[in-house]
Amino acid sequence: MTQHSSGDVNQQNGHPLAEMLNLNRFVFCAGCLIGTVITSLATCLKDEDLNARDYAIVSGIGCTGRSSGCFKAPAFHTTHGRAIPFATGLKLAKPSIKVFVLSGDGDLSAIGGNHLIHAARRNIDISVICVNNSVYGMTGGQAAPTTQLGDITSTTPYGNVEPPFNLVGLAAASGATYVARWPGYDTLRLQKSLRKALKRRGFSFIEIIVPCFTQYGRRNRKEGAIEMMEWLRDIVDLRVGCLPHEAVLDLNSGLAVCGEFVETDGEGFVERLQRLRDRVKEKAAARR
Amino acid sequence: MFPSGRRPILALPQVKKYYRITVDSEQCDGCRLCTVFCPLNVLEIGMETNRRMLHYASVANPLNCLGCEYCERICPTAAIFVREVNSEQEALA
Amino acid sequence: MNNDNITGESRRTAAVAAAVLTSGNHACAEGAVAAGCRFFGGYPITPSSEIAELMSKRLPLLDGTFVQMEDEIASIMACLGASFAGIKAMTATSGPGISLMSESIGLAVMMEVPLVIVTVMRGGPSTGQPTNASQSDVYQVRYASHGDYELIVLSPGTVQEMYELTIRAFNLSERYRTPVILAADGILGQMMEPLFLNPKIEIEQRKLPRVGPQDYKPYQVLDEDLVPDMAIAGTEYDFYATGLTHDEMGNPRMDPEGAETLITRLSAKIQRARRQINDWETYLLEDATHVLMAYGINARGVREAVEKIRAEGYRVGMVRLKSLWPFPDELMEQLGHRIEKVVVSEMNNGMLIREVERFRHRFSVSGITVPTPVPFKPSEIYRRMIEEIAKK
Repeated sequence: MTQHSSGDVNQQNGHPLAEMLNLNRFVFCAGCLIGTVITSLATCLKDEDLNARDYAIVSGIGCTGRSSGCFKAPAFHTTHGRAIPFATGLKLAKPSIKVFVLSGDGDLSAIGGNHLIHAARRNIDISVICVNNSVYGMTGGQAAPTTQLGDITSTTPYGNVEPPFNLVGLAAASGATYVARWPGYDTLRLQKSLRKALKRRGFSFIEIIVPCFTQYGRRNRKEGAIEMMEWLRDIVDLRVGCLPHEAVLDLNSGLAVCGEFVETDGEGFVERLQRLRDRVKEKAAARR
Repeated sequence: MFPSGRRPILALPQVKKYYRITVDSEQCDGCRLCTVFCPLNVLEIGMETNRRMLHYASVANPLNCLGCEYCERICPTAAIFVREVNSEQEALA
Repeated sequence: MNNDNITGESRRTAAVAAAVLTSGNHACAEGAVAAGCRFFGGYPITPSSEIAELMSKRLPLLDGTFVQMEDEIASIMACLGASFAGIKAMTATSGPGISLMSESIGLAVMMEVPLVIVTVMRGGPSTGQPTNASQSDVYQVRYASHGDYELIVLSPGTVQEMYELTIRAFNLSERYRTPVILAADGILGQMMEPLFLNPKIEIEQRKLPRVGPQDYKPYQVLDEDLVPDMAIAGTEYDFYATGLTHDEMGNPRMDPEGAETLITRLSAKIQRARRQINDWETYLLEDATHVLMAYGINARGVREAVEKIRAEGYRVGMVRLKSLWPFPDELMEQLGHRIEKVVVSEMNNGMLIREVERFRHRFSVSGITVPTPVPFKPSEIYRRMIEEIAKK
């Protein structure tokens, strides 16, 4: 990761997204598709005419955790694993804002796992974009709950012996009403998915496969951005109608099932709370 | 003209479109994703380096560009973008 | 005490008419609502659950939000998010919850977020004695989080103060853009006393940005009080709030100067305002040679003991702290002139007494400190104090 947080946040280079982004805060490794996820989200927001008044980005700690600062919006870089409850409070206090959680697989499913399943259970109206790089990249490449069996990481020097999470299955089982998984390079489908997520109510969970070529790749699969991306392209299998618990993500045998797995519409938490308030106030008024 | 041998009744005139590609040399970190994604060899990583001592992308064959915008979409640092222009001169500028 | 019989009489009658018999926890919740709190993210824990329960009843009627989160960490994080959306937020817990919330308290300090955290102290360490009181979290509330920071901690001693100091906590948190902890204890939380609901209270609000979005810098200091203007999410302002050390623009700064500047300012922000923050009550201090110092529920028995000791002819006075942190050094310095000895009584193994011992060059310091769940009996204080006076 390069430290390039110098310069002015108001740097403009004529790029159509320059007014949406703080260009000096892109600190990711050259070629890391986290940046692509950011620009894809920014494109969707721009297309929907959303600006600082309309949305907020909350992230945790890690490589993806640095992404919130890239947006010219209320951006929150919170503590490890706690982006989702922060986003919950933000959304409940001001339901008019669209709240996005943009964080990594370790942040959201290890230390933040509890918050993930409860947010899904509540169907809180936020969109969680989970960038899955299979490792704790920022801290030097330690194993994560999404690290594959047998992988070498800095804390599994003899090979990982823990099976990985199926985050799609986890989110769906917990009650998420929109669950999708895409490879990081598929910007068209990713943008389509993001557009859906930002328009709908309820809890949306989008997992994006962005294997880390720096910390994870050099120990396991491919060492460069291009090599990793091309290898990923070979193992991605886009499916329609696949069930969440069958959404295989096995980098060992070479299968990454992508697509949309859950798409149901239902009352979100914000709506339900508002109904509660209305009901309670009506009752109180009737008593008087 | 067409593999089946049929010809359209209304032949639309073939219009050549021109595109100008702009690369922010300081924002680019030379990751090569755009050059790999470009289907028509429009881009290359040049010999020049920027302030961060990185080789950045540059436009090798601007007239090949068909405006697919893959480079703009895949770039992880918002360093490259494509605009349609009206003439060959503007594309080459 | 009002000596004017006629107006005093009518004032007392008017006050009684507005009184409610209620518990400390309920008084705290009422105070929060009166201060404008419209978001409560909580998790049940004895002996503070009643605060959450009352908020769950009151807030929906006021268009507020009550949400029971999955754990204490989620509770405080939700409150942080709500505060950034411009809604005054509060959470309530006890010692074990503060332990869990420690990291988040640090985040609130770093991001400069107004927030009130109520802790109803109970027996510890660990699960301890959930249904008993204690005062053993005195250092925990101040130093829970890692890092160099200052924190405001208030200490109520009556049910009325549970109401008033909660309001004060909100005001201080808004004024200084900082989390404020209200450290009550299990007895105070559960006991019932008359509460006078004051119709006229002053409510403070955070400073909103005085410049437009283009010129706004989230952590720029424009005033002497070192408190930056706070933009709210959902307005045209964009800003970056991060737990990393940052500059006035919110850019993360990993250099020595970045750390020094920010940490110094965050601490100075509170230190500079000590005189406005620190609060204590004195009793019979004017001619005292010996002082008993106490806080919270324990102070009530100490006060009775002081009266008894005075009756014996000893010149004993009392100080009741209504704010524990920043520790009132000014008070210690004031006492230094004529006091021979300060005796600190607290329901723990000796915590706040260590702060008092920093002033041993001015007066002797002694303690009546036992890690007990119940306040000291006045007779116990009396007996020990007489010993201390004799000891010199």
